Amino acid sequence: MDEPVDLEALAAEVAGTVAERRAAGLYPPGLEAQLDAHFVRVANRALETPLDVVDRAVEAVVARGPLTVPDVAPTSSYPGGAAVHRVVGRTVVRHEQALVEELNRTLSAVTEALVAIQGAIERLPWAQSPELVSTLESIDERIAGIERRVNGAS
Amino acid sequence: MLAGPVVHPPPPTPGVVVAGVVDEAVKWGLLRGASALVSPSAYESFSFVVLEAWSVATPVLVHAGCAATREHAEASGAGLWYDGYASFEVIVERLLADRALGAASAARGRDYVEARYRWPSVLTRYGSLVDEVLAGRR
Repeated sequence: MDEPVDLEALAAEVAGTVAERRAAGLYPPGLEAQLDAHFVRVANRALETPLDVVDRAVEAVVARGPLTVPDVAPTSSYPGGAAVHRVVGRTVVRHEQALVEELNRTLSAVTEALVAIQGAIERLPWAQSPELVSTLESIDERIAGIERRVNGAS
Repeated sequence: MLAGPVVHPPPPTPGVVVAGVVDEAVKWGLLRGASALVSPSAYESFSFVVLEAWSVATPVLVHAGCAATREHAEASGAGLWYDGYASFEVIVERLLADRALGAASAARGRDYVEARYRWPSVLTRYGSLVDEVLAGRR
């Protein structure tokens, strides 16, 4: 007969070891929080609908724009450096502006594409209900189980 | 070894095998040969696989935030659970270093399955429920 497991003693031992390791700096700063956040994201992904995912992607892209040419102050700690900065700034600003406009056009196209996908998904009734997605996944899993049995798995 | 539906496959990592969904024969082989079953899911309503692992005397490690598997772990007296990376690391090290702990935990789990989830005890509980319902109607 095996000895019973003393759960309280084991839990206390685990907590003590964890505390010792934290105090010893064994875990890099932020590692535990990063892994906890990762777990929450992965765990919650199962509860997300396809529409939730696209909504988040659209919000992220919209939040990035519009892009502008950064306003860099023409200052310098070197004698005459500020004048050089002003000359260089005036020289490249038109190129920077053209590049930013091109990037903004690309950003707009990406946003339009995502909004179109968002609209298409919104028209799918099943894509908006976590319960329905969960039910469909459950049915899918059961069908897979039946198929495994039909195919000869024990 | 990651077996079953994998929502978020990890990047290729030495020592980690992503098997995905496996058939029943492979599942039982994995359960019998495992040093421990880890049930990381936080959203279980019962969890057959935890009981299946105990039924073949394999220790089980569950997520502390999952009410159903945590209840199995506590009710059986076999329970090992973790609430984050740090405690997971410590318990896995402890299990691998102390085979007696794993064996004791698994034995408690097997006793729990035998006592509660074999047909005779399930039928007895159903019988009691039916008796209670009938008694209430009289």
